[in-house]
Amino acid sequence: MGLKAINISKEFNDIKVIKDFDFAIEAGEIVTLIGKSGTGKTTFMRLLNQLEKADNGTIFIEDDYLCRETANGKAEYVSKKERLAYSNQIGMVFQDYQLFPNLTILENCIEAPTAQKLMSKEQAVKKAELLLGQMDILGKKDEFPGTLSGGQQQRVAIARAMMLNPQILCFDEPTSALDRDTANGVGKMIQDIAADGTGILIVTHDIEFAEQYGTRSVSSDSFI
Amino acid sequence: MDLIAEITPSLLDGLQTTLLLFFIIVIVTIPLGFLIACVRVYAPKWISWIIQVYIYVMRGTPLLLQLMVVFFGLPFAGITFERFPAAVFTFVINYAAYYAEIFRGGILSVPNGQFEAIKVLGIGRIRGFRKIIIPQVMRVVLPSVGNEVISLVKDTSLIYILGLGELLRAGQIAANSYASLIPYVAVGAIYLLVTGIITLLLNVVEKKTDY
Ligand SMILES: Nc1ncnc2c1ncn2[C@@H]1O[C@H](COP(=O)(O)OP(=O)(O)O)[C@@H](O)[C@H]1O
Ligand SMILES: [Mg+2]
Repeated sequence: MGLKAINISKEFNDIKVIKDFDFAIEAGEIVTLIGKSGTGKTTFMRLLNQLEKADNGTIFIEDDYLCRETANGKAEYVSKKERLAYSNQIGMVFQDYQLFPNLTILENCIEAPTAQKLMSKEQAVKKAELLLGQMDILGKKDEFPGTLSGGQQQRVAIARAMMLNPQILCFDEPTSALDRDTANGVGKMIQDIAADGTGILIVTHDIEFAEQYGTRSVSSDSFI
Repeated sequence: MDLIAEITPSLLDGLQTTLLLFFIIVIVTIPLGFLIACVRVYAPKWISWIIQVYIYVMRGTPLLLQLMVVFFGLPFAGITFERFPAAVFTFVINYAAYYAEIFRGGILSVPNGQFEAIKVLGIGRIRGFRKIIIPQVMRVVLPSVGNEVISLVKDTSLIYILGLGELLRAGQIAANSYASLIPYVAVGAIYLLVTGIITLLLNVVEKKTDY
């Protein structure tokens, strides 16, 4: 179970951001990735979510590989179909949530599973309503994202990511735009999600939040 | 009042040509402009550069000059157009350039994170573009598109240079033959009526694309 990233390297314009880095998340863990701004935390999370390509290394979740290190050490990415299988095992909540502004809250949630034909629309709606209920935001399901507060949008973004049943869920700076109370609320929700067996990765420079809700902490100092 | 009754048929005749050109151009150039914008944003650099030059020329020279070049100039190069097709062709390449610029701005206004969310969620590029990106682009560009549509109504009068009997020309002929101001006033009123109706339609579309 869980995600493994082995021997990962990534550079931008000849500047190494991550070098020979090993990392793993087990089911139910809440791993916090902490460190100074500009040290590559977001980059690492983006690598796991296919928004950047690793130069070297191997990344996989159970049997689903994203890339494998070849004999010459380069990361070789798997086929598009295999990448989709991998990508459904991992979800991401963006720092600025990136809800789709032209879709309602409910439509935001059901779009991915219906687009991928993973479930019927009725099934998707049912599941979305369940998740939105757990996130305590079901009452807003027919509203558009623009009418929601930041904290509410974040909960929708979590529900949207959970629609695909990911084994791993990533958060980029989840508390950066929240007051302490709201941050504690989302911390508890993250704990609930982890308790159901999802592995959590949280990129943050909020040490207090990391100490309170993380089960394990990794410093971005180990990137280089 | 007699005068109005007398000039009405010829003005309506002119209006018909004006509206025909207007509808053809609107229907062809808005999708075409969107297509050109997509190519400009997503195609390789050298194609994007060619499109940039084309847009620069279309926007940087008078539409009247472009009409003259197409109808009076191209025959010297062995390419001849009938009057109305010459007008259609020129308006298409001119207005498509304006719309391409507007749509390009609209596409670039959508945050990169939206494309990333589409990717991370495995929604698929084409479906994501259709269901999520395009509606956001439409909302951004609609006011500018509306302005161009209104401009087009008035720009159609330029085809008088090709000897086509559109509304303004019909009014001018009537004004000359009756030595009267009234045909001009009538022409102005008709333009106002047409742009007024279009403005109302645009407001409806704007409400529909809102979210
Ligand atoms: N797409 C990119 N192109 C070039 N440099 C980048 C890119 N993305 C990130 N970087 C650089 O990589 C470094 C790490 O950035 P980031 O991962 O955002 O750090 P953090 O999240 O720890 O603040 C920074 O110096 C940043 O400028
Ligand atoms: Mg960051």
